[in-house]
Amino acid sequence: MSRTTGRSRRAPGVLAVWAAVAAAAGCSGGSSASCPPSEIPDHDETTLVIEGDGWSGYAPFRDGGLLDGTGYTALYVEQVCQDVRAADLTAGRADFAVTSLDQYLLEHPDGTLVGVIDQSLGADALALGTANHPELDSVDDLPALIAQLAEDGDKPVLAYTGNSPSEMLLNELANSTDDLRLSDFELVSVDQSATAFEMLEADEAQLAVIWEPETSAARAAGHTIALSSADVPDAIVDVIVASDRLIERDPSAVQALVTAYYSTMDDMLARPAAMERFYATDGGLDTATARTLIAGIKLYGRSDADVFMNDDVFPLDTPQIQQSIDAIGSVLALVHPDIPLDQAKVDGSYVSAAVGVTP
Amino acid sequence: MTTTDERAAMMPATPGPHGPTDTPVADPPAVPNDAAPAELVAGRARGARLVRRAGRVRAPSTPFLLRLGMVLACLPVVAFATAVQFGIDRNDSTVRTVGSEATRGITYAQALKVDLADLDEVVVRSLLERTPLDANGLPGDYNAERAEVHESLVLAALVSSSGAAYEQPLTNIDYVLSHYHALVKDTFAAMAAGDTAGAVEAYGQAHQVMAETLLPEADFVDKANSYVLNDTYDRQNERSASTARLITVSWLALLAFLVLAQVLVARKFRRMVNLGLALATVVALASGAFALNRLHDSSAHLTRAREQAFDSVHVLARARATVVSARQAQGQFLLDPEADGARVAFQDQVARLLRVEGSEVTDLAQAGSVPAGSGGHLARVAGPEATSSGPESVRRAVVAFGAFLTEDAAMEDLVAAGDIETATASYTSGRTYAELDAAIDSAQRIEQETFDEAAGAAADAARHLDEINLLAAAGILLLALLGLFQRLREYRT
Repeated sequence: MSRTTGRSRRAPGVLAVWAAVAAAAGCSGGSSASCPPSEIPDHDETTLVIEGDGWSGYAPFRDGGLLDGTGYTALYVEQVCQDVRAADLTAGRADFAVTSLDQYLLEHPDGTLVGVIDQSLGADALALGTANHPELDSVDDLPALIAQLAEDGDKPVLAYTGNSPSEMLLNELANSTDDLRLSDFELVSVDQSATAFEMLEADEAQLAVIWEPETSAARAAGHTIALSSADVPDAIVDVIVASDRLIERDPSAVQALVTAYYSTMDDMLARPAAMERFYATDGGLDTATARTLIAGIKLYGRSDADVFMNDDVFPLDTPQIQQSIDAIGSVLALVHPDIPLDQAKVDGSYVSAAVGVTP
Repeated sequence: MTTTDERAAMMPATPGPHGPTDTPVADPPAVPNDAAPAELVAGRARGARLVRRAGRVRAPSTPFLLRLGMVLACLPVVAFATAVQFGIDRNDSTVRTVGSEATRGITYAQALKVDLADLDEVVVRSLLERTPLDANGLPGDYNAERAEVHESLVLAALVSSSGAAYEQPLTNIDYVLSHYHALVKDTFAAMAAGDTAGAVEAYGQAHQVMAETLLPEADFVDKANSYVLNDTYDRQNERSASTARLITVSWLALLAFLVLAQVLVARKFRRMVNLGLALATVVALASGAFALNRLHDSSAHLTRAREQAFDSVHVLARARATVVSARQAQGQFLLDPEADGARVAFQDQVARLLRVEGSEVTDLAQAGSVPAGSGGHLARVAGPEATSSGPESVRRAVVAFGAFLTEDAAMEDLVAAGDIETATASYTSGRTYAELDAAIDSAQRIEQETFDEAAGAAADAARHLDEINLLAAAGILLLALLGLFQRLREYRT
């Protein structure tokens, strides 16, 4: 299961291989030439095509019955390449894309943010290889390790998943803590979190940015979780993007999906055990792993989403989504100075309208 | 003197590889006469004539070769001059970014952060001291500090690059400052009205705005400039090897050309040395070695500036802002001893300055000792892996930090004993704080001087190198041309 290349896995073997091939082919680098086009079956006008990847947070969109009773049908199409997903949205081949906010800003499709799905609050983390280096149990031990390796002209290896929330987390951590200077490390981009964790285990990397369930596995294996997405709230946010073509052609379809999604989420959030089972089934995980996964993310119901999308937050007096766009965009702008932040479009009215609908 | 052609005309028509000859060239493969059509026979005769004519084509004349050499001499000289100029441009750009632009951006960002922290500290101190208010309802110190914040904000905006990474946080600071000022005004208004609880509450909100929005945004401006600094510096490190290779290759090609020209001319004219070419070779040898040496020196000075001095300057600047925030937390604690948030904030700031796993920070700091595995700003400049250029000055800062913590502990004891008045008097005197601030300032100044000196040396090392390079290239070309022209003239006369 993957985001560009993988988060919690639904079909680990096949997707991991696919993700590795896709990443090796430069998929995560954004070259649509190396990404397969989305396989979108023939469908009628009332079918809403939703493109996303295998991330567990998108599980409700994969539920074939999501839009039951609305007059529409949901069709989830898996597309691991963010640029193809954005191109499909722009071309109208997809009606919705579920993606992370940073990727929306980077790919800037002709689409509008109409809802928030989840945000990482600890699920993504920076692990130190304490099991192999017992002295390395705090970021304060990094200078000694860096100095020790520098004597041989080496740097500590930091493995992370490129073009994924791991990369975003790495940039955010480097920009929000005093203890992590990326130039002190040899950064190794890998295809997925599991690979980064394997490198940490094999001492091929002394640090790794990983996500659940590897975060829990690393902790259990005696490694140290030094920093996590909980240290940089509002930095890793998943969102619903509606195609501008669909908004113009059939806004009621957008409303139908947003309302149905938040109804499902409200229902699940009210029944935690059922929610664990749902995510466990979707991801092919055991219940305990699903519980750990859910504990590391904040899932949004309709009222929280309404606040996130529409309520001005003091002291910047803009909604949290706008503040996240600005904050994430500022970080991205360091590497991509021409990123068009002013092209980001937000419409919280669909969530507001969903709040008024009785479940 | 007979010319080559005249000599050739006088030579007997003997067969030989070099002389004119009437020896028939090999015929094309035999074809039976009865089978050969007339066109084929005529074509064969034309072919035979052409081959004979080709056999008479002479080797290029010496004047032609000399002229060709003069033209070709331009190529390696231009390639060498261009490669050196390319290296100089890259070096200058890096020295400018690392030595002044990015570091200046970081310095202004840190100044902004210190000024913001100072502003917050002035509020809490003014509340504790019951400072009289100016006509605008705010203490004079606050108004002065506010003007400094504004000035720092303008300076940070002026030196920052364009783009969201810089503009967004500065825009946010500008916007949020108005909220902060409004809350501070409410605070002093409540205090003036005798509503201490209202004042404490309003100040709590103001401090939250400062701690959760203004200071992190100022930090981000610093991080953005640090990113540019690190990125530029890392790129320069990666490129310097390839630049040196490029210059070396073009330099060797130029030397090879000059030596080859010297050898060929010597063979043709049977003179060992062509003075022009020899001088050109010496100038090329010297100018290439000089350029490589200067660029290497510049890079080495820049490394010293960046890796040794500026890291310390930067960390000490952060330490200074953290100390101000710690002092603000002390004041907030005295303002409302019942609330424990201020003590937690103070301990957070202390941990940012110095933390040692399993040891008492105060004792170690008083002894000026920072063991391996310590964390925090002071550990980075005074720890075993630190590379600061003034170790004694940073040690004094650590000792001053110990004294600051000792005084804080005594203050906390006084509050616990109910003697808030004495604790407040100790706070407002600010003796150990002033000493710590001065010690950090002094250490920072030493590191800044080291940085300025190294950055200046990096700039000096490559100063006028472009002019020298152009002069040398022109000299090499001129000498080489003169050397070849001299032979050309001899040949004509």
